[in-house]
Amino acid sequence: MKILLILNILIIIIVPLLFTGIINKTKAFWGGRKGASIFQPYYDFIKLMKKSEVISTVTSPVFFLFPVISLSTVIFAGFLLPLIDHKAVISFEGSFIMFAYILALGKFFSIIGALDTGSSFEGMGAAREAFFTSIPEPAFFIILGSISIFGEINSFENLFGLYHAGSELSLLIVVLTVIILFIILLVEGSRIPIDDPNTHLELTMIHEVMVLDNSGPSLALIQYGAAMKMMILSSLILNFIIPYSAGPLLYSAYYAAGIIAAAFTIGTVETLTARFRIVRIPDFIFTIVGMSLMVMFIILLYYYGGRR
Amino acid sequence: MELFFAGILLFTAGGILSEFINYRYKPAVFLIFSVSGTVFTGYAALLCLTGQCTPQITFYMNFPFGETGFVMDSLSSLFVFIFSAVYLPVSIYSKGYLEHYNDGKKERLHYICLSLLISSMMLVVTVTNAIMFLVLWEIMSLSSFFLVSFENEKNDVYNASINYLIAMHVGVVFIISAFAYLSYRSGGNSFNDFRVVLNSGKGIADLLFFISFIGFGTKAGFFPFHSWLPKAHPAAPSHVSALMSGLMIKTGIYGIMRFLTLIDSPSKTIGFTLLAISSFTAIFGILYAMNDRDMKRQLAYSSIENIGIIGMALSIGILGFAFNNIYMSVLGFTGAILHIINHSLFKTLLFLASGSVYLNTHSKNMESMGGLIKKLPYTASFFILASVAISGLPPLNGFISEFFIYYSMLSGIKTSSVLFVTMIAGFSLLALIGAIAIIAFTKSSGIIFLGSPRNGNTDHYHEKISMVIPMGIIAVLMFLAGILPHKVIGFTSGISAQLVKADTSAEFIKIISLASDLSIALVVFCGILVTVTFFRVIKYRKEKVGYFKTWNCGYQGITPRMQYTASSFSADTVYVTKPILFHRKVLVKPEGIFPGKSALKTENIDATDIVITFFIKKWIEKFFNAVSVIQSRTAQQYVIYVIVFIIVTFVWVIWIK
Repeated sequence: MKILLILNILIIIIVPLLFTGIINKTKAFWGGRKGASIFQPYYDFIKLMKKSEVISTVTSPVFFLFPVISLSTVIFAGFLLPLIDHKAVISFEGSFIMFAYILALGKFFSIIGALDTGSSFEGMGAAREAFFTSIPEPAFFIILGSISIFGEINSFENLFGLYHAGSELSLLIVVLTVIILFIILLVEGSRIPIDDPNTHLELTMIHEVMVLDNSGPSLALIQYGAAMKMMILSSLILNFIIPYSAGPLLYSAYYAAGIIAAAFTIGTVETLTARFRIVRIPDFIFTIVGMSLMVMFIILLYYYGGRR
Repeated sequence: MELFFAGILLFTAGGILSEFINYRYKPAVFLIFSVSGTVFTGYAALLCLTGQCTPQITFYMNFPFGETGFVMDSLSSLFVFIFSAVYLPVSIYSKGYLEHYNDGKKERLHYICLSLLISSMMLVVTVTNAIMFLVLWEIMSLSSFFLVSFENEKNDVYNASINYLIAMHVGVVFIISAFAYLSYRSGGNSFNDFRVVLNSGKGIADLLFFISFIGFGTKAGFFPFHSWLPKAHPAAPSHVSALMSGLMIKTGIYGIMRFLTLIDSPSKTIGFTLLAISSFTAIFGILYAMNDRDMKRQLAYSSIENIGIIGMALSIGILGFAFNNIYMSVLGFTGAILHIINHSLFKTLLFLASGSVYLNTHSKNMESMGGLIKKLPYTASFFILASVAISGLPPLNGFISEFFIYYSMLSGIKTSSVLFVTMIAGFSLLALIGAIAIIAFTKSSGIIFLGSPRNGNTDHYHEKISMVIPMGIIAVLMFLAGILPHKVIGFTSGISAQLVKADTSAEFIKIISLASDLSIALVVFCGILVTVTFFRVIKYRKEKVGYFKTWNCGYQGITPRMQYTASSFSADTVYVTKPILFHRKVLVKPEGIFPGKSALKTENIDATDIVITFFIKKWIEKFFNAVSVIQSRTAQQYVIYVIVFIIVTFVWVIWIK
C-alpha cells in the first residue's frame, strides 16, 4: 500500500509536463505538423530553471512568493485526489471541500502577485481571472455536494465508490458531470476557448498576461503548476469514468490511457474551436451552473424518487 | 465568577480614573487597567469553559430589576473569552492609535466610553435578567455612539453616528416589546421565566423569535437592518470599528443564540426563514464589499457577509434539530460558534491594519493608495494574512469554520428531499460567496498594498511598533486557531449541547476526530509550502537576478496612475451584478464653446438606503405632516386640548366604568 502511495506522489510530480507535451503534440498533429517531442516541456522546464531572472523594481516579496505558493497548493490538491487503487495520499471526510479551497488559495496569491507588478495589463488579467474562475465554483460544489449523497461519508475516495453502483440515471449523471468538469478544466487551465496560452496580444489574454513579468525559475514553476493543475483536474474527471472495481494494475492501465485521452481531447478541442470574445466567456461559463443544477435534480429524482 | 466581576471593576475603574488625571498619563493608566481587566475576565471565562467555576451569581436589587442573575454557562463564557482575548490587543493598539490625536481634548470621554463599552458587552452576555439586559444593552449602544462620533467635527462622521444611534433605538424597541410581552405573560423578569411562555403555544415562539430577531439583527447587521453598519464603521476610529465589528455585533448573535436556548424545539419555520435571510445577507454583503472602494466600508460590508454566514450556520443547526438530525445540528452550531470566534479575530486584524494605513494616508479611498507594502511591511503582511483568512482559505482559521458549515450542510442531505434541495442551494451559495470574497479581498490587498504608490510621496509613511505588536498577537491567534481546530472545538462542546438541549458527546467525538484529520492535512500542506519555499530560496540565492522596471508592452512613459484601479478590478463582476448593485453617477459635462469645469463622480449606494430615504422616510414625513394640522403655536389652543382631554376622560370614567 505504501508503494502505491509513493507511486501516486510520483505521478503527481512527474507526469504533468508530459501532459502538456501530449497536448502540444496533438495540436501539431491536427495542424499537419510534425511538432516538438512530447518531452519538450521538460527541456523547457530545465532551460528556464537554469536561466537567471529579471524582477521588476516595483514588486515586493509577494511577487517572489506567489509561484511557490500556487505550486504548493496544486501539489497538495493532488495529494487529496484518489489515484491508483482509489487511494489518495491524504484522505478525510469532506476532503473535496479542501480540494476546492486549496486551489482557491493558489488563485488568491497569483492574483495579488499579478497586481504586485503594478502593470495595467497584469491587473487586467488578474481581474479577468478572478471573475471567470469565480463562476464555476458554485457548479463544482453543486455536483460534488449532490453526488456525495451516494457516499456514506464525503471524502473523495468514498464519493466515487458508491457512486458507480448505478443504473441508467447514473450514466446520465456521469456524462453531465464529465462535461461540467471538462469545462471547469478549460477555465482553470486557461485553455481555448476560454483563453489562449499561445496568444501574443496582451489585451486578449487572461491567465498568460498575469505572468508577463515572471521569468526564469519563477516562470518554470508557474508553467509546471499550470500543467499539474490540468493533470489533476483530468484525473478528477477520470475518477468518474474508470470503473471502481478495477484493481491497481488495471486501474493504472485505465489511468494511463485516460490521461493520454484527456490530453488528446484538450488538444483536439483547441484545434477545432476558436477563442471566444471576452464578453462571450461569462455566458459560456454560466451554462455549467445550469448543467450542474440538472445533475442535482437527476440525483434528487434518483435518490428520493417515489418517496418523500 | 468573582474574578469576572473583578475584571469588570478594573475596566470601569480604569475608565473613570483616566478621566481625572493629566492627559499625558491617561493612555498608560487606561492600558494597565484594561490589560489587567482582560486577564481577569479571560481567566474567569477559561475556568468556566472547563467547568471549574461557580456559574451563577444572583443579586437582589430594587424595583424594577428584582432578582438579577449573572450566569457564566458555556455560551456566556465563550463570548466573554472572545471579548477578553480580542480586547487585550485592541486596547494596546488604541494607545498607539490615539497618540496621533493626543492633545488632551479630543479623547476626553473616549477612554471612559471604551471601558464602558467593553464592560457592558461582557455584562450583556452574562446577565439573565431581562430588564438589566436592556439597560446594559442601552449602555453598550450609547457608549459606542460616543466612540463612533470621535471625529464629530467632520460632517459625515456626525451623520453616521446619528444614523447609528437611531438604528440602535429602532432596533431596541423590538427587543423591548418581545421582552415586555414575555415578562407580562410569565410574571417574571428572568430568562428562565420566559422559557415557560415560549414553549407554551405553537406559534408563539416563532413570532417572538422574529420580533426579537429584528432587534438583535439590527445590532448584528442582518439584511435589511444593516444600513447603519457601512456608515458607522468607516466613521469610527479604527480600534473602535475593530471592537464594534469584531465584538459588538456579536452581541446581536449572542441574543439570537440565547433566545434559541430558551425555545425547547425551534420550528422549521424559524430555520428556513433564518436561512433565507442569512444567505441573502451574506450574498448582499459580499457583493457590496466587492464593489466598494472605501477600505473601511468594504470591511463593514464584509462583516455583514460574515454575519450572514454565521446566521446560515445557526439555521442549519436549527433545521438539523427540527428534522431530528442531531449530528447535522451539532455541526451547524459548531460551525456558527467557530465562525464567531474566527470572524472576531480576522475582522479585528483587518480593521487594525486599515487604521495603520489611515494614520499614514489620511484617506480611506483605495484608489489613492498602492505600494504601501514597502513602507508598512508588517501592516501589509497582516492585512494580506487576514484577507486570506476572511476569504475562507486554508491554512488559516477562516477555512475551518467554513469547512464545518459546508460539512454540516452535507450531513443533512440524506435526511429529506426538502433538506437536500435547501442544503445544496446553501452549499453552492456559500461557494459563490467564497469566490466573490476572493475577488473582494484580492482587490483590497492588491490595490492598497501592492503595485506602485498612486498618490505621490510616501517617504514619511511609517508604522508604529505599538500598533504592530497587537496585530501580531491576533495574527498568531488566527494561525493557531487555523492549524489546531480540534483544540478550539474542544471548548465549544458545552455550547452546542446547550443549543441542541441534549447530550452531544457522541457527536462531538466524531467532530473532534474530523477536526484533527483536518489539522493533520493542514500541517502537511504547511510542510509542502515550507519545503517548496526552502528550495526556491536556495535557488534564488544562487541565481543572478537582474532588476528592471515592469514590462508594459514596450511603452515607456508609464506612470503609477496607469495601474489597474480598484473599480476597474471589480468592473467585470459589477457588470454582471448590475441589477442588484446601485450606483449614483453625477456627471458635469463640459459645455459651451470654451468648456469650463467638468466632473464625474460615481458612488455606490446601498439598496436599503434607497428604500429608507425614498419610501419609508417619505411616508413618515407624510404622516407627520398630516398630524401637524392639530398643531399651532398659540397657547390658547393647547389649553383647549387639555380641557377637552379632561372632559373626555371624565365622561369616559363616569359613563363606562
